[in-house]
Amino acid sequence: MRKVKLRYFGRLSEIIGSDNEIVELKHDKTLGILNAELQLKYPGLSKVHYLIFVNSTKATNLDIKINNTDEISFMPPFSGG
Amino acid sequence: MKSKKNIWFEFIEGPVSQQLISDAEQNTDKSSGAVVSFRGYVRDDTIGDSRVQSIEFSAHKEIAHNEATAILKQIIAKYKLHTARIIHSLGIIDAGKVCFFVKVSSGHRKEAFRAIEEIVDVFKEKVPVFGKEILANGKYAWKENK
Repeated sequence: MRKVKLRYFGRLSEIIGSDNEIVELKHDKTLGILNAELQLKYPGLSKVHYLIFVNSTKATNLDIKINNTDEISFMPPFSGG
Repeated sequence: MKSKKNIWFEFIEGPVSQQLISDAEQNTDKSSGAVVSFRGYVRDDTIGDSRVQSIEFSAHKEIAHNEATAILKQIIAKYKLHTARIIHSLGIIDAGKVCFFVKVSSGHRKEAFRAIEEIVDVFKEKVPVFGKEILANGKYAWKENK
């Protein structure tokens, strides 16, 4: 079974109730499918704007396949400085 | 020949102290005619019927480090700076304290003034830091950059 680590930042960690989780990938899955599944599991997610990073790169295409070594980060708009 | 380090990015726990700022503003390079720095303070904004007492900062540290370093490399080349440095706080920072410090040095002032404004703007846009505003009434609000 393949597993990937998901990390949640800022207000997203409140919506999820944790700052990370491990999910199992039962078959090839795109980032878009994972995102849709998370929005079903955590309805609050679809009410806020967020960015998705795969490893250290901002995802601009939700059709990419997820690899089991990937770390996927979900982040609200930045508010540093 | 090994090149001399000229960019620095760091997170620190707690506010950026006056001592750290004084140390960072030291100019040890006699070819640098301009040293310009920026300090960002936590404001006690009014939110609803309360005021911001402090901000709790968190970050995606690995991505933040990569992004901030890339910004510094790009700006130092664009403006031909001698050095550039960013310090950002993590953890709870009270209103009135410094949470963000940027310093650049260059041969002449114009490049340094332009560079520091651009570093601040691009940092706010691209570096994953998150602020939770803790209010005097015990509630909180997630900070949004304007």
